[in-house]
Amino acid sequence: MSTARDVARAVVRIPRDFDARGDVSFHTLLLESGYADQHDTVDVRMIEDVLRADPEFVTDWLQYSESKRSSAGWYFRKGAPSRWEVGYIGTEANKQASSYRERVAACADFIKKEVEAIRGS
Amino acid sequence: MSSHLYGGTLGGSLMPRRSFLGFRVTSMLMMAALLLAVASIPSAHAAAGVDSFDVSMWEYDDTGSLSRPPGARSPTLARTELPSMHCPGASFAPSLNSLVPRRGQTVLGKFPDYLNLADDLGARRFNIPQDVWARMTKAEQWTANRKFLDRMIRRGDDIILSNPVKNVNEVTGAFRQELDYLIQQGFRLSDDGTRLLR
Repeated sequence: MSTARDVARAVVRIPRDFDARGDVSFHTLLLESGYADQHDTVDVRMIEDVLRADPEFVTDWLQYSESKRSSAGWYFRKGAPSRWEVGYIGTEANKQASSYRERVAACADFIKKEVEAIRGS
Repeated sequence: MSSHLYGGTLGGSLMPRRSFLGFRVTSMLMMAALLLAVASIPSAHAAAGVDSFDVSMWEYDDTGSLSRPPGARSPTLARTELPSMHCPGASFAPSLNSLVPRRGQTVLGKFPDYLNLADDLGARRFNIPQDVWARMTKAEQWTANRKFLDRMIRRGDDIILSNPVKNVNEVTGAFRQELDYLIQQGFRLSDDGTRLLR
């Protein structure tokens, strides 16, 4: 049985594994990570801890976000100078965005929102 | 009127060609088929647990959005045939005629910038429902994207970049893949990096 931290590590690796394997969807990788069983335990703080240990994964998530071609969803991008933005694009009514000074914190927030959105889809 | 207009996938042989009633029934069938196709878009595959796609079967509407995922049981309507259909009393004919692809503008770039700019300009953009996108492999995503780009090229759209590009080598991800493909097809960056020109 994977620990919650193992699951968080597997979740953080998803964009890298998605690119490397090529024959598997994000949705399948999320299922393989075990996140569905641990989604209550794997919170933003735990994801942030994993990212701080391996901050190069932040770049993977930035590229993952900018490569999305969905009609709606969460995004993570560089905002104003020295700011990072996590937001949602959809209809006018549900657009929202948050600004962060620190990119690891922003990335962790984005990851949690993104995997929750896909888990619930 | 040429017979092929009624010999398509709707089974035109079921009705007399010149019957007024026949035209109306055909029209209603076509409308029902269109509504069925649109209604089944959002999560047909998610609901079925499908995690593999034959993107060659996909169709897109005139904004670039996915309009018919594989498996949607709807007849294929050849858009170029629609303007020629003579349907007395069929009030929807003009709106079907407006689906014929026209040259226009397409926006490419990074998510979500390209969506925002396309909305502002009323331009086409490539996008797929998130639940479907997340269930596609990298290869399937690119196949769908390339199909959209090929249609854009055939229409001769103006190509606008939501994120100006000075040096293609500094671009990453799907946007880089789109730029590389279009450059292979004979396009080049405009001097200010906001467009692709031929």
